[in-house]
Amino acid sequence: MKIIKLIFLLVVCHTVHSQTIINGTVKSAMNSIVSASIVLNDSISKTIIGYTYSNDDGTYTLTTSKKGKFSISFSSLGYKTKTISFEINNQKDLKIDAVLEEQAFEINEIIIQSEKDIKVKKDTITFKTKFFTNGTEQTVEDLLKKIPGLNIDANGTIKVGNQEIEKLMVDGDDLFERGYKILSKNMPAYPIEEVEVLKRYSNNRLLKDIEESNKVALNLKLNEKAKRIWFGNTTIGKGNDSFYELKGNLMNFGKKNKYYFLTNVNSIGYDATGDIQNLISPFRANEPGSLGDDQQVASLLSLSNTSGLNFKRSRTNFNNAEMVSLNAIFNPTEKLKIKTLGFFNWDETNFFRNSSEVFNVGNTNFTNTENFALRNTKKIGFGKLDVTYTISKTETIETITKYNDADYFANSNLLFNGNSTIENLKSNNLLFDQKINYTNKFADSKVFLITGRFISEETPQNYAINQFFYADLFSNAANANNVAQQNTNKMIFGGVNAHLLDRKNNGNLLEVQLGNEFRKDILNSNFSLFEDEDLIENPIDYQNNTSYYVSNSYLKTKYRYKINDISLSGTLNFHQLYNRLEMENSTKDGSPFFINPSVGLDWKLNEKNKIISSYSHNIKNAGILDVYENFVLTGFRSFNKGTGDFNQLNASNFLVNYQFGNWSDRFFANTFLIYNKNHDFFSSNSIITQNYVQSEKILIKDSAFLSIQSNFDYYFNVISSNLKIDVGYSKSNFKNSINNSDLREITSNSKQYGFELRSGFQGIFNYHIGTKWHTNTIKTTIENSFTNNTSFLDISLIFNDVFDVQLQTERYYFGNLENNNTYYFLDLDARYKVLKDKVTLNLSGKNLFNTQTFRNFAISDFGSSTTEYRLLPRMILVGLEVRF
Amino acid sequence: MKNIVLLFFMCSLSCLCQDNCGNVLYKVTGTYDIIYYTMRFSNKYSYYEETKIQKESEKIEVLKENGNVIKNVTIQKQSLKPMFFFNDRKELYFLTEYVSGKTDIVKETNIKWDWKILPDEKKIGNFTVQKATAKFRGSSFTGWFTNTIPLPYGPWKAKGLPGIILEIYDDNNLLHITAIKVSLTGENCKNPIDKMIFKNSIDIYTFLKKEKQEDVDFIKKLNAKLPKGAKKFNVNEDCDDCPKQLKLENFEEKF
Repeated sequence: MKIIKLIFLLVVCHTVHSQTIINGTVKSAMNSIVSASIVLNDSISKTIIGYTYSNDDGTYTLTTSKKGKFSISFSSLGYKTKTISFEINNQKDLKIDAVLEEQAFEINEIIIQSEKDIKVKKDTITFKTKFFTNGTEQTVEDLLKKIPGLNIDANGTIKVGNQEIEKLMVDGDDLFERGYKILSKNMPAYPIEEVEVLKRYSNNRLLKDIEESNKVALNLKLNEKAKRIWFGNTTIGKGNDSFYELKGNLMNFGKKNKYYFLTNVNSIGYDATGDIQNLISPFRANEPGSLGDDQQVASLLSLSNTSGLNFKRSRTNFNNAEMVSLNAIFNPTEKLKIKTLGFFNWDETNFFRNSSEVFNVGNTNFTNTENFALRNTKKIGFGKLDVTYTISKTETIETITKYNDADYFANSNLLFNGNSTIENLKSNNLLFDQKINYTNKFADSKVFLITGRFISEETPQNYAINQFFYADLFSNAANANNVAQQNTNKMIFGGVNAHLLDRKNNGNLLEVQLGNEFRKDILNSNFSLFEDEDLIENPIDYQNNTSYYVSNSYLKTKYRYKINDISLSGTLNFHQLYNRLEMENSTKDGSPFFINPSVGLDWKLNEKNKIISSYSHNIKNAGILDVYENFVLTGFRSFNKGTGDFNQLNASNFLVNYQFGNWSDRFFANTFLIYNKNHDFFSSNSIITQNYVQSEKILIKDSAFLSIQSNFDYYFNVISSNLKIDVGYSKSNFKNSINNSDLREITSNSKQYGFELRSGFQGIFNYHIGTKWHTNTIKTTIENSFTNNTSFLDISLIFNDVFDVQLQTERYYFGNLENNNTYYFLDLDARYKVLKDKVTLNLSGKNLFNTQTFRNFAISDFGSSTTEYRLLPRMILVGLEVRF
Repeated sequence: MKNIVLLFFMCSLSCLCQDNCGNVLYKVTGTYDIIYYTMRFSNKYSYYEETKIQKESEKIEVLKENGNVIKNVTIQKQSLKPMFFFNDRKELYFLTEYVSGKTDIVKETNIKWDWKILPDEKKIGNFTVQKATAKFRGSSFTGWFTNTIPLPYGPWKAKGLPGIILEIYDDNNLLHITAIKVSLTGENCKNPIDKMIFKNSIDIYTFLKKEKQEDVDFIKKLNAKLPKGAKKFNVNEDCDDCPKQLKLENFEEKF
């Protein structure tokens, strides 16, 4: 009895909680309908209780545990939807079939969103940092690592995708340009609320989408309530002998004002002005509004000549430098932004060089030896003020004022062919530079800029030598025993430029520039011969009183035309010049007119092949250094003079670049071909004797230069290493005259070939090895050639997140030196992070093999030379870096 | 005799029935870029493929209707990187490209979307759409589907609602797909994919392992290509204080 009751209860319970199975078949007039949608709705609330689709045979099954009134709808494309109402009480299963009526299939196209939204490119992407961080981020760099799409490499270079950012701004303010690592590595992450990625970025906000720009920038937005924050870092290093280093960066950021103070004091050969070079003159090549950026005063004399050195300059830079810089940004109102920069640099450097020069032309042969010890002292003070005012949404005006005052003292102890000589060069550089830029975006894709610039720069120089080597030249001055050269180099530049940019609807870009540039150069030089303190003579032909005025009125037009993957650009520049050369005894005038055309082609054949090609024909007007008419002493044994006339130089230039594959592919090849033909060319007519060289500029025709360079990259999966092969050939020919000979033809060609192998192991160890041969030949009536080899091996040991060691070894081999022709260098850098992101210990060793001197061999069209440089001895520096 | 005639008549009639199909153009907004995908569908399949819109060869028509300006743009299809999702109502296949350029077809069996249909409604274009939410592989998704096209398809891997999904997005905004054009064509309804290519498909877990290996190999290759002096990239997979980057799909199995 009990069992029956139990079973009965179970059965009743089961029926109370039971589910109802609804099934059936969906059919059309002929067939069953596959994939018809069957939806079960509550008949009162119309909510969807359940749904399913019919199977391949048209059957379906739906299950529900609800009771009440329902409606079931059967739908399929091309059929009228059928809805059946029914009720579920206690049925366990229900059979509901449906036969659907065909409905004319309406061919329809429904546009939901207008294309205007799609056309607007999304160039600003904003990330709210709170979604990406977990509170352990110390610096901005840590924060940026967590933003999707941003790549930060081990050096701190920030890239969006593959492209490095142009700048890292804070609330739209930028203090560092490309030197943003000082900010990303030191600024704390906590006050940052948003990170904005700005694609197709333009330095001038109104030029956005009009100028061709692929630049990307980041903008960090601070929390409104963030208090003023102080942060920075300092590095102290002390080494053997008297090597030391002290670096400090201190920043104070608030919403409205930001301050950045930096200092660098060192004796390890490091030139700190390189760090702020991009703040003094930001890199703005070819950007609209760069009028006058290429204008600089011309200097004739310089004692420190370190050209020809193909290894790190810092190895020969015995220095004692102090640099201090203060930068600030003020935003007093929303429309006004003021940026100030100031820096002071004191540096004392020493440089040592011994050389032996063999001269061999025609019947003249001799050898000169020089032991040169140079001491250079420089004091530089620089200030810059940048004010930007936003007149309206489409108009801005910017003014930049720069002031520079620098003093240079160079003192050299020279032993020339056994004669003890002292040279003294005092120079000063005074610069005042004012630029005003007005930008008006008068239509959606049209922009108009007016730029005005005024530059005044002078570098007076005073040069004295306590020997007289030129008795052959000055027969009246037999008693002379010292000489002096005084130069006044002054430049005044003024220019106005109007620039119109018109970005057409189809993507083509039209640019028109109209303007005038005026430049006045004053070159006065005074050469005197002394006997002790008494002035003997100011020889004629060695004094200059030159004023050179050049006024260039121009119209520049450029059109960039895009069809699919081809981009063609054509430039036509018209120049009307007015030249006036005033010399001691004569004046010359001229008004040449010329047209400079150029064409360029950018063609992406397909994903793998790209070609860039360009051809241009350029006519250039001679500069002040080409035109002065009498000799100037430009070194202890060289006199130079210009042509005494103004000229236009004609040149044609052709360039082709072919790229196969992309940099990240397994195989990548890149080839460059450059051909340059100078139809007119400034060469020299020189008189070369043992004690002096007199060089005068002459205009000759036809000098050509050809260069082909290819490099190939192939990645070997087996050894996880990438092989780079580099081959190049270049040839140039020109003419000159030495010692009153006829014009002789000089052909110089150089071949280089080499390879590199670099590993990409995931583990601790990684290597990078390479070698390069360089063969150089100069042919005149005789042939001179040499082969050099440079090799290196870098080893990287990254033990873990906190400790890593980098080793760099180099080997230099000179084919033409009889002995001492091979040199080895070893540098080491070890870093240990004591406290992650707060304290780092540094051990750095340079020139560990203690190579004392370095000899270099070179050839020229009149002989060859062997030069020996004294190097900074072995240096071991222990440093501590603290971030606060 | 009558039966044979009737049979013949019925057969010929059945040949007149047309396949009903159409396509939907979706705008996919990811982190940085806007990509376009077209989904072709019929009763039997859905094929969701990337569409490249060439701006230069666009045909723009500007019409004025009732004082409103409407711009119609005809888009050319240019799929250089074939990436598609194919749903034949039993399995879901997708074609993926590794960072090295190699491609693989991945088969996902038994993807289950547990949709909860809510009463909220709104309009997308002329379509009335209803809201549904589901949790799928660790992310919460919201989908809007329309009963006007009663097929269980949707963009990406989304499927299984009573009508076509016209909009879908996740809570973290890592993916946002919206339909911008719907066409019901009735022609060209044949399945565009040759089923032979699915013979060499791999399953999702094999794919994830392979993808990880390809990424590691890619970083090794990039490191080997760096110029002299450049410090190599470090990929820290299992570092302690690295956050788990927000991913759209999280797989429970560790591999």
